[in-house]
Formats: sequence, structure tokens, C-alpha cells
Amino acid sequence: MMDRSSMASQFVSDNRHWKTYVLEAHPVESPEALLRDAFGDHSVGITDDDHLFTLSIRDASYFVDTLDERFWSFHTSDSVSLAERPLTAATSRRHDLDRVWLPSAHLRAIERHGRTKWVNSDFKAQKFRPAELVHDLTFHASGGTSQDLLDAIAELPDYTYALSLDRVGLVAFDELLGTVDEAVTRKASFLASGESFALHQLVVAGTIERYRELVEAAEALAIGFDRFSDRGHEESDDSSGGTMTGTPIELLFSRPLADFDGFLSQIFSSRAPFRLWASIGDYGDNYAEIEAVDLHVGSRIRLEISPEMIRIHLRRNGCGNSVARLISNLQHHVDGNISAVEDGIQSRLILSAA
Amino acid sequence: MDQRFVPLNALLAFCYPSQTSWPRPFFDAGFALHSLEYPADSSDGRVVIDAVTWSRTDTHFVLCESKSGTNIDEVQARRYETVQTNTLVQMLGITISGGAMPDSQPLYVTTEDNFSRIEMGLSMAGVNYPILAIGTNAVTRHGAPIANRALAEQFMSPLSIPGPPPGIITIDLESSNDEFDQIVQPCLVALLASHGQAVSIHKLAEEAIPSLPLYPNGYRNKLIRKIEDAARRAADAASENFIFAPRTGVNDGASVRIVESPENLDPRGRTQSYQRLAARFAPLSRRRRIVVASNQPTLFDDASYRQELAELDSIDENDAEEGNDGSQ
Repeated sequence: MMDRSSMASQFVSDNRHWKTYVLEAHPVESPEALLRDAFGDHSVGITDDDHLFTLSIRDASYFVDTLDERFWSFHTSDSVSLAERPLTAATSRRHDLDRVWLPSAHLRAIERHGRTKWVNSDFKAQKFRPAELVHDLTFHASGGTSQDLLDAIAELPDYTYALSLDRVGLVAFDELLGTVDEAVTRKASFLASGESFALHQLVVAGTIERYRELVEAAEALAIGFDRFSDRGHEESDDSSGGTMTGTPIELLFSRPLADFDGFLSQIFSSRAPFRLWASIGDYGDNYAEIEAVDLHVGSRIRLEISPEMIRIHLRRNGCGNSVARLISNLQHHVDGNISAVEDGIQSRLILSAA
Repeated sequence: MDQRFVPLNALLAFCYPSQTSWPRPFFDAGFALHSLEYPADSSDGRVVIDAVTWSRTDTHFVLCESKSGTNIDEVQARRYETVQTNTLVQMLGITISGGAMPDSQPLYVTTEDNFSRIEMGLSMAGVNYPILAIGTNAVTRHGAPIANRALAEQFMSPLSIPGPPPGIITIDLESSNDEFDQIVQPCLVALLASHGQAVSIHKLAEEAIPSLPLYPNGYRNKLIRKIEDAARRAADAASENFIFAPRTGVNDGASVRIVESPENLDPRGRTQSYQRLAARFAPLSRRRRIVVASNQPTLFDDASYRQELAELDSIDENDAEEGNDGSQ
């Protein structure tokens, strides 16, 4: 039988790069039931650990760590070409499994675990930014001062919007645990090798904790209504009144959108990466109110959009991952320097003190 | 958002506990939104207050009535003046400390276009309340002074606003069929995307109108009937996806059932199916086709590392064909 220590041993002894894919999961019954439903009953195996499962899909095999109830780690030493497709298919197909969508600052923060080896910024906004401006910028720098170079570019105010970290590489080190080579993508896919699985876990956990705070901060602002009779007041056939909680979340573009119509038609096309559905009716030249559906999770989301901002109405019991996904994709495809109006969201977006 | 909802949504935004680009004069003055649609007792009978706001530090209520039109209900306006503040404290379960007795003031919120008519209507009713007029770029105070000093200071001069308020409440019985369609259709698409099989009209109404629990039963039932009509229209417009099942008895309410879901198709077919659905619901929409961005190769040293890293996250969700994962 497998357990965590044998998984750790395999990490150290394996001469292949270890991949860890972190997925956001919403199990209704149990993690095991969701895994069996998502990947097939025959694919899932138990281990000595209640929260650790094995998963075999065709030629790919994984350890699935569900100890974190919401963010599951799918560990595998199989090649990316084998390992990635089943997980991408599952997150595409199911509303209870999603990727993690790290904003740029969250990728940047991974350097807290060691020394940056390289950075990759990949901004693709051809559909959203006018041709006379930089609309695509792929930037790769290797070496210890790579991040410094990226920071120097970010100091150019005319180009800050075109920087969006896509992946970073670092050597993570810890006095007691040793060193691990880590590459991390904005969808929280980790490629690691080294002498300490514990240190790799530490890097993953640190990344996810920062992300969790952002997601939960968004969920804390979810909008809902309560009837007073549901809150201990007397039931009445007539109105008993009620109250409202929550606040919309506003994101500000660092540069106004040049093609407002084009922006709306692109992000509500139902296609990846936004996967937002909407039947857009009439709207003003500079303001649109859209009742949309987040097809990733099958939930309604109201958006109010102007060339300067996008306002998200996350509904009670809505998933904060929808907000994080939107932010990450906007950073990647529209504005790398997008910011939140609300301090609690902004501080968790750029990872500064509120 | 229909202009009719601007005053109420502006008022809600004034009270938000968290920041948006909209000003929060009530919050900044120490007021919190305590309740909506609250039936309060006055000396002349019951009055349903659109929004009860409360300052704990000043033990003061501002009882807000939002007016979407030009006319006021004179009886209602007079009842606002005689709302029994102490009873309100007791009914709302509010804790008072510091020795001060609670007091209250009514306040009307309307649009810039309508405030003079509202002011005239209040005068005819024999009452004089402060009126906040929501304009395109600013909010101005008219009518009586605001009694609470902290709140009055917020409206000493026109208060700039960045545009329309967030649309928290956007539907009522006067809304058009199109407006009901716009909130019902996404609910049905969400049902498809979440692999649902059917939804009752009651559940659909709760999804479509989050504020539904606030309203009295009679009004709520009329809204539900409007939702039912919109559901029938949606099923007619997209009959390959939905079927409307009318009520068959007292206990068997109407529902919408899924006939065919885009979720049963491969990812590319699924996306196209959702796009068709959007076009069907809004045939004159301005939607355009989208082209998938290509994935960029990356350059790294070690060969297998380079290959693996380049492949990491390289699969577009649109390309993740169903069945390739070995699942059922």
C-alpha cells in the first residue's frame, strides 16, 4: 500500500521531473466519490492515508492528495503529454473541478521560497488592444536578476499593462530541507525535481494559501439577501423585510479599452479561457450590463463593464475562483496591470499589506 | 438598468460596507443598511420602508424611500413621518448603548429628472423631507436639511458619481418581457452548464431574482408568474435544448426540463452549441467569432525539461477532447 512517505521517496528517487497540478474541487459527497465520478470508478485506488488516492488514467498515474478539502494536488512523474490532458478534460467537462488561476503577483511571490532562475511573461491581447499599441509581449529572461529586468520594464508606465507573468522558475531552498528546482505556471502546475518532497510541498502550499486568501476575500463580498423570517423574526404572510449583504467587486483597467464592442464580443464568446456565456442585448457606447454564465462552473454572474472598469457581482454561494480566473485571464489577455478598488481584494491581488 | 432602479441601487451603493468606485456617504457617516422592504408601524398604519439605515453611534435611523417615478403616495409619505422609532428599534432587535434615545428621519431618493415633482408631491402631502436627486454625474440634496450632522456633511455639496450604480435590484413587476428574458435565459444556460436536468419555476425564480425573499407573498407570486412566462418563451426559442412543462396540479408546479445539453458534446461542439444558444436568445446581438490564441513555445536549457515545460498547460480547454482521458 502507498502512503505519503512512499510518495516522498518516489519523488526523491525518481529521475524524472515531478509534476503537481493543483485543482480546485467542490466535492458534494466525498473526495473519493468525486474522483470516481470524474475519472471512472476503476481508475481510483485507495492508499493507507484517508486523504491520499491513486489515480490511473490510460498511461498516466497520479497520487491525488485531498487533505486540503478545496485545493487538491495531483502528483505525477509521468510526462506532461500523458498527464495533462485528462486533467484538462476533467476541468473542462465538470463544474466541480477547476484549475487554479494565479494572478501575476502570486507567481512573483513564489520567489519568497528561494532564488529566481527565470521568468516568463506572456501577454496576448491582440484581440483587445489596438494595433498601434503593444498588444502581444512574450518575454523570457534567465538568470538570477531576471526578475529585476522584468521589474525595470514594469517601471515603464506605457508598458506596464503588457506584462503578465505566465510562469517562473526558481531554486527553492531551506536550511533543513535542502533544495528543489521548481517551475510554476499561472494555472498552478508545478514541475519539480530535487532532494526534498517536503520542500516542494511547502512551495505548493505557500502558493495555494496566498491564492486561497484571494478567493475567500472575493467570496466574503458575495451578494445575497435574507428574509427576516429566516433570521428568527416572526413569519408573516405579508412582507417581513430583510437585508442584503455583500458588495460588487470592481476591477479597474490601467488603460481604457479601445474597442469596447470587440471586448464584449470576445469575452462573452463562450470560449476558453474566459468561457463566459451571455446573450448580449442593447448596451450604451460606454457601459454594458451583462447577465452572464460562468461556463466553468455553471453559475450566473452579473458583470457591469465600461472601458475603464469591470464590476463583478458574485452571488452568495458563488465561487471566488470565478473572480480569480477572470482576473488572471484579464491580466493575460487584456491588461496586465489591472487593479481592484476594494482594498482587501487589491492587497491579496498584488500581495501587499492592506 | 432601467432608470426606475437607479434611486434604489444608488441608495444601496451609498451603504456598501466595502469599496467600489461609487461614493459611500451613508457608510462614511456611520450608517449601515439595516433592512429592506421593512413593514414598520406608524401612527397612521403600516408603511413599508424601502431601506432602513441605522447609525449606531448617533442612534439615528434614516428611513429611505426610493422613487422611480414622478408621483408619490401621499398617505405613504405621511406615514413615514409618524413611524414609531422605539417600536422600530424593538422590532429590528437593535441594541442601543450610550444613553441617547433613538430618533429617525425620512429621506426620499429619486432621479435628477424627477426630484422637483417629488418635492411638490411631498409638499402637497404636508411633509418636508430631504430628497437626494441622482444625476448622471452627481448627487444633490434638495428639500429639508438632513438632520444627522455626519450625513448632512456628506451632501453639503454635489457628490460626484462615476456613472450608473451597481445593479443589485434590476427587475420588478413593471419590467418588460425582454428584461425578464434577460435574467431567465442565463439561469437556464447555467442549468445546462452545471449538468442539471430540470428546474422548477419556483427555483428558477429564486435564481433569477436574488431579492425575491424580501417581497410580500402576493408580489412574489406575481414575479414568479412573470418568470414562468419568460421560461416558456426561452423554451420556445431554444426548443432543441429546453422543454417547458406546465403545471399539472396543485402540487405539481411548472418546470423547465433539459432536452439536449451542450455539455454532452465534445468541447468544440459544446462551445458552438452555447454560441448558437446565445444567438437564438438574442438574434440581433453584436457577437463576433473568436479565434483561439496560439500557445507560444518557450526556451529553456535541458532538452526533456524544455519539452515538458513547454507542454505544461499547453492544452487549450477547447482541445481537450472528451474520451481521451479514459473516462466514461
